[in-house]
Amino acid sequence: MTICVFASSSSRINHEYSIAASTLGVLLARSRMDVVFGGGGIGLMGKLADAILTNGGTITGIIPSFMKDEGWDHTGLGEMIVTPDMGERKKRMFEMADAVVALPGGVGTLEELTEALTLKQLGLFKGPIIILNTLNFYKSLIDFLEHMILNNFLRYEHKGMWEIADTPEQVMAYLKKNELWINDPRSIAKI
Amino acid sequence: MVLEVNDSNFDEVVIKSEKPVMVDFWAEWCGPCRMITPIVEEISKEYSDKAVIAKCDVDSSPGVAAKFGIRNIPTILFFKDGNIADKQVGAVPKSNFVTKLNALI
Repeated sequence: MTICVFASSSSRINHEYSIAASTLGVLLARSRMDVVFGGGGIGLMGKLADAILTNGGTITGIIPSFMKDEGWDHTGLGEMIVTPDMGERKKRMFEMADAVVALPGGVGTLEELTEALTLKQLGLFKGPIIILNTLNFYKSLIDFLEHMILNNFLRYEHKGMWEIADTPEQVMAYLKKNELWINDPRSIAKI
Repeated sequence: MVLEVNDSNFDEVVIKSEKPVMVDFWAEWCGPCRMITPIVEEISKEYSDKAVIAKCDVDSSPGVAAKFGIRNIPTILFFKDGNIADKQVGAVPKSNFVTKLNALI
């Protein structure tokens, strides 16, 4: 089972975020879940990867060539796939993913998370999408998604597309619950 | 029939088997594992006289899973004469399993 993790590459963040990323890495490795991620060596991506590798897990990085040229890649991975651009990177990550987990991050992480939600709304991705809401980081986004629903930009049923986890342990519980959302997402894709 | 193997009967059923053995390492919560369950059951019927087809729940058999370095599931190991002869990680089409199994018969 392959879990796609989106996460920050910033290291200048509260230590609690790093602890949560490391803890998730340990739990994923222990549960024998494969991980695919953006291949970064720093920030929460780096913390996650280090924890997985230290605990005998498997993690594949997918990174665009320009980021590798800049030296932003994690150099200790067993497998690193280099893509020509950002779009191809994300496409490859979704192709491999059985589930998506978003850790706190910046606009890159936000964009990846919202694409996952879009693909799920359209029935192009069927797995769970879990938002790790460490220190209530995603409160504004969760409120904004509710705002979309209240104003009919999203249907109420679409609320079932994502799960909010306060801790890495809750992320694991959602991953192992493995519930299907609805059989025919396209029937409700149009608002 | 797919035999259930665990930490206590693994040696008896898999390692000492005279026929080639295919072992599906899985867990109840793993979606991709459930996707290949019907394939493994089909293969067990088709190869009932030529090979032993088994499955091992990694959560209830941590010993076997650790011994064979199962880092992700589903992982399918193919044994011949008590040794690992081949390996397949992830949910893949039936033909991948059949090809690997045929090579051992």
